[in-house]
Amino acid sequence: MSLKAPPSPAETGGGRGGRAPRPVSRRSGLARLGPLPWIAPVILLILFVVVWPVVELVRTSFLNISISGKNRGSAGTDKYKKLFEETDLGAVLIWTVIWTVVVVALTMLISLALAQLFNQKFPGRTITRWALIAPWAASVLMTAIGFKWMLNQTAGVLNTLMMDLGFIDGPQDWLGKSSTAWPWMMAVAIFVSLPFTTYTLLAGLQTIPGEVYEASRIDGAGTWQTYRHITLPMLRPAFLIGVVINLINVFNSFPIIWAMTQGGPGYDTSTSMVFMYKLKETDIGESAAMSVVNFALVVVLVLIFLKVSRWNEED
Amino acid sequence: MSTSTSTRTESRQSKTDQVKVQESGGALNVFSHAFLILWTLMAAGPLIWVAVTAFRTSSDILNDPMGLPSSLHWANFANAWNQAHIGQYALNSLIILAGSLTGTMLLGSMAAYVIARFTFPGNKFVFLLFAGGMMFPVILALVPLFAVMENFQLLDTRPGLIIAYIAYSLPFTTFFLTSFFRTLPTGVQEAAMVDGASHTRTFFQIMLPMAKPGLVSIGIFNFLGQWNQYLLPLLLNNENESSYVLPQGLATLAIAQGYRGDWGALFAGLTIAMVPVLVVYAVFQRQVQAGLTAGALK
Repeated sequence: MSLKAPPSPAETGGGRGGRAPRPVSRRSGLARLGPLPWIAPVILLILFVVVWPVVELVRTSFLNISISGKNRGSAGTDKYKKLFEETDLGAVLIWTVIWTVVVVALTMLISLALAQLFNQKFPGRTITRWALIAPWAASVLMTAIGFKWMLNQTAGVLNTLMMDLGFIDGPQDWLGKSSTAWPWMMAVAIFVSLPFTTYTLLAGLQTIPGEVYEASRIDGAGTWQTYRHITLPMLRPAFLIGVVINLINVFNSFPIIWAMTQGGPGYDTSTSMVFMYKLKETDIGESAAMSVVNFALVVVLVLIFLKVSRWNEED
Repeated sequence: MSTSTSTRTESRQSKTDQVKVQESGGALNVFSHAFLILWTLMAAGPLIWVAVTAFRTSSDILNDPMGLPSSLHWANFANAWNQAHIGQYALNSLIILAGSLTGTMLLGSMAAYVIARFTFPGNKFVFLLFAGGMMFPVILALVPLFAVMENFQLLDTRPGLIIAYIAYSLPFTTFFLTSFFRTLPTGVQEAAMVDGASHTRTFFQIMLPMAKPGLVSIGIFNFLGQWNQYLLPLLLNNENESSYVLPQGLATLAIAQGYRGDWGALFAGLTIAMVPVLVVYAVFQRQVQAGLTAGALK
């Protein structure tokens, strides 16, 4: 371990780094060497386990690799050309954007309402807060499988229930066609995103000091006005964090779609992430190209959002 | 702060509306309570159903899925624990998590402390590395990650899985804790260092205790994520059935029910998997909120 500063003999306290007598020199020494041993393991780990696969992925997307994994040399940009010539790609990308925007928007809206409600004192609040964490406690995969059972054409609870109530005449194959499969998958995605988002917003609400509300009440502001002009602006940081994390998670969401429809029939219910996974079976290089495009898309989505939200702030 | 002044002027104009708004507050409460009850039913209902059904015999479940248990049928839990090896898988999960959670929290907080509190060349780059890592999902890297682990002989080993868990949890953890450490007062830290405490000591005895709320909430977040992690073990830990973690075991159990028809054991297994999560939540409930408040938002 490197020393943080020129060692100064005989001072109090244990510890491996020597300390300089004057704060100034200690700080400049630290600035040069100090942080390294502290963050080196982390950086190494991330370089090997996260960054290296990214690099490898980009490299693979320019290679001609057989299904068995044999490298047949460079493919140039052929894989990207092949990818962009896929007839399904357009629909898949459009659905990916719709999927991401709808799920994130509805999650944020419902979470705003839930957080607002949970921030009040009411009988049974503890129980409802427990219910809030419930979808979080069961894994996303299990939740998706559970919903798949409920929506099953022959054995599903939903068909039985809706037929008993007279909403439908015969059992429906809810996940068999994209028009009904999409809304159901979106509902599941929203359902599993709510706990974390609501908790973030709830935490944000609790940072707003009571005096602010007091002041607005004395000034005679109504409920809605207080909410729009005081709560929402002060909730902004929490809201931004919620949106960014949801954008990333929902865009990258795989287990829900894979467990419920496997992106089918055909590519009808595939997002670009599922599309990428399916391409892996036919062409590894093309699948890697899709991965690269996917990663770029997430970064762009998040950057656009951050840009837009900052622009609003300056307004 | 222009918002607050504009609020004040606007709100003065609407003083006359005040009475009306308050009246509608009553209706809003009825509506909001209905909403909360609906939410509670929707969110907790299926889980309660799973837990209740775990006490019924498999034939009962098939005859009437929504019924209540006639007597407490503990055999399901015994079956899940012994025959489906859920006990073994739960133990595996606990061992993995003990390593990965400790590693994530320790490495993450150390990195976050340094990034938040010290300026050094490459500070910004390191921060961007974490932010970028956050956006990169495991699923994109399945094939290369497999190759990396194979090269280092870490495939199908506990250290391998632990390292992968840590690496994929670190970006968000560091990101979160960095903003948390930035909010802590600098005075205490400087005083400690002037008094001659080493960096190690300052960090462990001064900074970590102060950061406890943030550590707890990101710790729980990681606990949930790692406890339910399915993709990584499926990729890196799929060789021996005896070293499966809980989600793998449950998935195997779920598939096996298709032809064995022992639904009771499956529901018992699912219930067992949820218990630790609820225990952790029960213990740390208060800190979760306090931590998120202080950390994520400043």
